[in-house]
Amino acid sequence: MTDALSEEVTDEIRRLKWMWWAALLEGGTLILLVCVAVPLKHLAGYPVATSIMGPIHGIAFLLYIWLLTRSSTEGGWQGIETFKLFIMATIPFGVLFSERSFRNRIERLALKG
Amino acid sequence: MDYLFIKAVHLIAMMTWMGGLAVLSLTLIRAETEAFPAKALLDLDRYLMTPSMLLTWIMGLVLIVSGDWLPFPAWLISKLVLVFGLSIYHGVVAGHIRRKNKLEEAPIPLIIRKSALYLPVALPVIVLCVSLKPGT
Repeated sequence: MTDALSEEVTDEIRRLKWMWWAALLEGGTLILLVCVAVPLKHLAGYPVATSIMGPIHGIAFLLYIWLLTRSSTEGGWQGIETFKLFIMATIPFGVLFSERSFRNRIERLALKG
Repeated sequence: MDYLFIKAVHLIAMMTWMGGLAVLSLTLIRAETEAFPAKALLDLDRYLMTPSMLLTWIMGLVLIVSGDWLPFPAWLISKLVLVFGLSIYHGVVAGHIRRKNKLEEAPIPLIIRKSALYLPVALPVIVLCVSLKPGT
């Protein structure tokens, strides 16, 4: 019983670590896109910056949303929590919220396990 | 790489992804009345569908950039929205398969059964958008 519980906790921690990395990747590419590539395009006349960062962020965003839906369904997360994490992915620097949220969950589970 | 070659890889990956998604969603609908091969479906998702989904996304974006489809025409925006929906649907279905692999008695919510209709509706619309390119 305890083994089954700790196996479940380990599984959840592994899933949350994946989510943490995906959130950092998504948030990081969004910050680079909004704070570096877009000003370079409009202020310095380098449109190539957005045409490189745009698709990279697109892939990172899709990956994050896909992992978020998969993990929330698998773990039976609350809908409102998943929705908050989705909204944070669309806001620059929203990653600060999601990163902390995943880190807190990992710490809580590690204590429990 | 040649544009047509990238397009061919994109199509092959997309067909593999959609075929797998159809199998996953149909098996999930029947999960409560028939034997549920969770491990086989998990392998299908892990080794075939997820790589082909990633390849579809990457090749699709390479096609957009190399085909100079920026700014996006209306048909491409519609297609991207539908693909986003398919990716979310795949995430939900894959999550349920994993949940069912751990908890055999986990129920399949009605909304998941109903949303199985999304695939046969979205896929023809995507193909029509890409083939006819309405508005261009």
